[in-house]
Amino acid sequence: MSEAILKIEQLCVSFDGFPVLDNLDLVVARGELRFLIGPNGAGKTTLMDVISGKVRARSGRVLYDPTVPASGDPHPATIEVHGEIRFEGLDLARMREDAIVRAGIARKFQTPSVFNSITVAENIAVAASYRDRFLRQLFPPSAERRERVQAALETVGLRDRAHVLAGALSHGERQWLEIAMLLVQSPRVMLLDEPIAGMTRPERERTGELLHRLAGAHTIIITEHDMDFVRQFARTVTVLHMGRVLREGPVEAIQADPVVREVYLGRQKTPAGEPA
Amino acid sequence: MPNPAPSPAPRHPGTAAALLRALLPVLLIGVLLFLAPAVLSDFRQNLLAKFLCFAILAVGIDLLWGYTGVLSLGHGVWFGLGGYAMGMYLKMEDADGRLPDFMNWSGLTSVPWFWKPFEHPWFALPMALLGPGVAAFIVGFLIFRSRVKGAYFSIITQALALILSILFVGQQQYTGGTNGLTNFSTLFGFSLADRTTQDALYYITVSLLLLTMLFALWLTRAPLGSLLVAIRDDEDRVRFSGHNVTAVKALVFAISAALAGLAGALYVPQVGIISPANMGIVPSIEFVLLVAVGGRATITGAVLGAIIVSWARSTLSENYPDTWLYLFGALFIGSVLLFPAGIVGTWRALLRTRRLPLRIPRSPLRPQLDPQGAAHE
Amino acid sequence: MDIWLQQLFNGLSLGSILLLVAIGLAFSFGLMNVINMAHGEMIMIGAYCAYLTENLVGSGGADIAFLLALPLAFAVAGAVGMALEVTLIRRLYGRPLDTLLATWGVSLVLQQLARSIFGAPNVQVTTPSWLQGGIAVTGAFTMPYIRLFIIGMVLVAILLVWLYLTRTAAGRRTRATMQNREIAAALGVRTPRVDMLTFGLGSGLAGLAGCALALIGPIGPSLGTYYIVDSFLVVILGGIGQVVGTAIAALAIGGANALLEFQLSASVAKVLVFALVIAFLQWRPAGIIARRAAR
Repeated sequence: MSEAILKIEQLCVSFDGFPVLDNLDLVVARGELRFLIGPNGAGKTTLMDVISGKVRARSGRVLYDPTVPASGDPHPATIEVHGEIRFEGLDLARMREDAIVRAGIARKFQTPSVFNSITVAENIAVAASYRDRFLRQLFPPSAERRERVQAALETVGLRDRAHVLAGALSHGERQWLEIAMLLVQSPRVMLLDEPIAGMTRPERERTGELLHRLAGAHTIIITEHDMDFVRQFARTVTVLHMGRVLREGPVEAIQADPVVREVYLGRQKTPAGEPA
Repeated sequence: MPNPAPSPAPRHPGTAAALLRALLPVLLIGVLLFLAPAVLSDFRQNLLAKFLCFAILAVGIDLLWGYTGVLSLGHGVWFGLGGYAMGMYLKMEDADGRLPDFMNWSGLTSVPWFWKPFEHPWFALPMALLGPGVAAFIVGFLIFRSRVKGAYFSIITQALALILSILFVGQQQYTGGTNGLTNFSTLFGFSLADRTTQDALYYITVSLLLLTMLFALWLTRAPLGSLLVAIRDDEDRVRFSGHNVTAVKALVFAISAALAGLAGALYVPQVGIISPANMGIVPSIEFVLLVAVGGRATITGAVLGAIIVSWARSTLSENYPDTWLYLFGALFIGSVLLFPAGIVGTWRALLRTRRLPLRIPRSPLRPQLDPQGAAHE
Repeated sequence: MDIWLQQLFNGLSLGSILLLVAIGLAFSFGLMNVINMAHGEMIMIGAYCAYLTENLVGSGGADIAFLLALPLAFAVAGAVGMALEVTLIRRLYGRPLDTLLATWGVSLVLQQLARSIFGAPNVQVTTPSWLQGGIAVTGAFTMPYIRLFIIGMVLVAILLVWLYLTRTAAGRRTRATMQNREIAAALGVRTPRVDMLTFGLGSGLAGLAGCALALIGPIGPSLGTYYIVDSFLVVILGGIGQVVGTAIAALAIGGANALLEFQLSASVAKVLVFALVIAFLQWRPAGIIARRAAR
């Protein structure tokens, strides 16, 4: 049960010389549902970026995307990454993002990103075919594949919307679709970056229950801001602060921890509910 | 663009009715093209054959641009390489063991080594497809690997078109220089001046065009089709779904280039010349216009666009060359600004909503789906 | 040795012209994410401005005519650029590939217009007397005044642009919009106006480049097409939106073209330069000076 599936050692990431992650160590056990919390700028999303290969450990080599409007956020010119991210004998910090996914780590982004001009079912089918060779993709999917797509659709409750263009979905539905795109790949580790943002309360409940069902078979790492949700569904919580692990432990202990309340809960005027 | 809840035309791929609806235009175009020689003069039929070569190429560009969102402004290169492969064979056949005429004039004394294998049709014909295909795969792989994409990929391919056409002009002793390869007399021993040879070539072109359309329909309706559109929508998300986007894009680029090569190889015996003027910047971007006018991301649109634009061009440019250039420029601006969906896309949207689509229905360009993309206030 | 120096010097002056053209391209990309295929026609417009002023002033006034032509070329090309931005480019905001095709259409129309007005054959501009001759450095190596003047003009133009961007309020607004359009707009910067002005500035610089080119060669309707592809390569090689990188890339491509052309044939030189750019991008995908961009 407590065998480590993901082991991060001495991870340092800096943007233009400014440290974002600072000697971070983190061990996640197989089948765990791990919540990452922390104030803005603590490095939660950056941590996911490094694990999923969006930020890679090759200092100086940066990738650009000419189609992103230049008026977006200012982007760092140099990114340095040191340290190791061990997963099943692989060092993720040196792998390409698609290879990381094929190794078994899937990620859901903070703003739901799905493919707008194809249908919901096609979105999931594209995700499901991630290990297929080029020639295999010229032929209809196997019955087993179709069932898996169908199952993923049903798990997230989008069966009725299967043939709708994904661009026509509501924000919450897009979140669900992206989760389904992860599910159909049955990854060993799922990284979920604020999956319940923009969801209604019943939708949140459903997500939380889904996460509990999935944990065990999958290892899930999830960042979340909503403390109600964390209290309700979290078991183990890791608190990040200034790029380091501040505290780690069961949710009750974390909530009672004076240091955590100082840096995190204390800073929020109303920490979403009564202080524990 | 965000469609109001039930989506207007839900696609149920795989159903027999959908398949039939997709095949109907191919069938219709096929019948019309097979009957066309009955009403066309020999001259017009020959002209039509030339347009059909462009249609094959347009389908290739559509796969790459309309579906995958990769705009190549260098397809003249692949068309040219296919054409030269065919032209080299025709030259070698005519020379019959001696030195092709233009090499004599440029002072070569023996056939260069890379010309030798082209005396065999079993080498030259496959090379017309494989040459462009393999070259495009290598070039594409290197460029896509650097994550150069969008408009930057387009201008790199444009530079490629410019540079290769300059190279072909410069290496006169090997390529025939500005004049290119011309003065062909026979193909597989049949005289190219014969009506029956030209008729046969016409029917071969029509058949290959229909095969190309079927091939493209198959590709785009297979699971690969959704993957290509997904890459067009958000290629980084596809990477984070575990697909090797670099390889897929390079392969589609290669397929598209091979189709351009096929078009070039069919063009040469029917038009009688291939020269650097067919592969530079201007022809390359003209090829894109065929798809833009016909309707991107529709196979029928690419074919119709190719025939209509090429026909308009040959009619107008012969009679009013100046007017044609203005019209040509206006077509670019108009097709993008007013009718981004093209002829077929506009027609389909009219049938569906009885309104002119001022946006592309299934947008090939991601930012368009962004409601703020319309204007920047 | 002298020959090499001569080639290197020619490469320097070609590179400086490329730089002037590429700066405008880098602006329009940095600001609006737009590739303007009609940018080459701004060069053509600038060159015809030189021809036009000479004809208007009369054959005796070639010396002053060219001095008058410089501001005129900048103004006319800049005005055409602004008109293009307002009527077309801002309507295609967020559709880079469509912008590319539409501006190509504009480039065709502009070339055909030039052909209708000035005729298809090339025309020539008389070199002002004060630019004839050159400085003989060694036996075979002379630095023609024309090329020295071009290099000097580019340096002055770049300096002025730099001053504009860093020392004026309008320039600060431009840089703010380049860095973050939404925030700049929220702070009260009229971003459409910034777009228009910056686009005009870039086009005006290309017009200046055209004026300079009128000194060293014939002027034709398709003058721009000879330089535009190299300028695009400069922008890509330099790193998108990077002024310093663009400058290094312009000199590198100009120099490589001149040196290789001398060693090999012109056509092989072009192929080699292209191959070098692609090879360089394998090593540094973001160009000489990288700017990190997120998804």
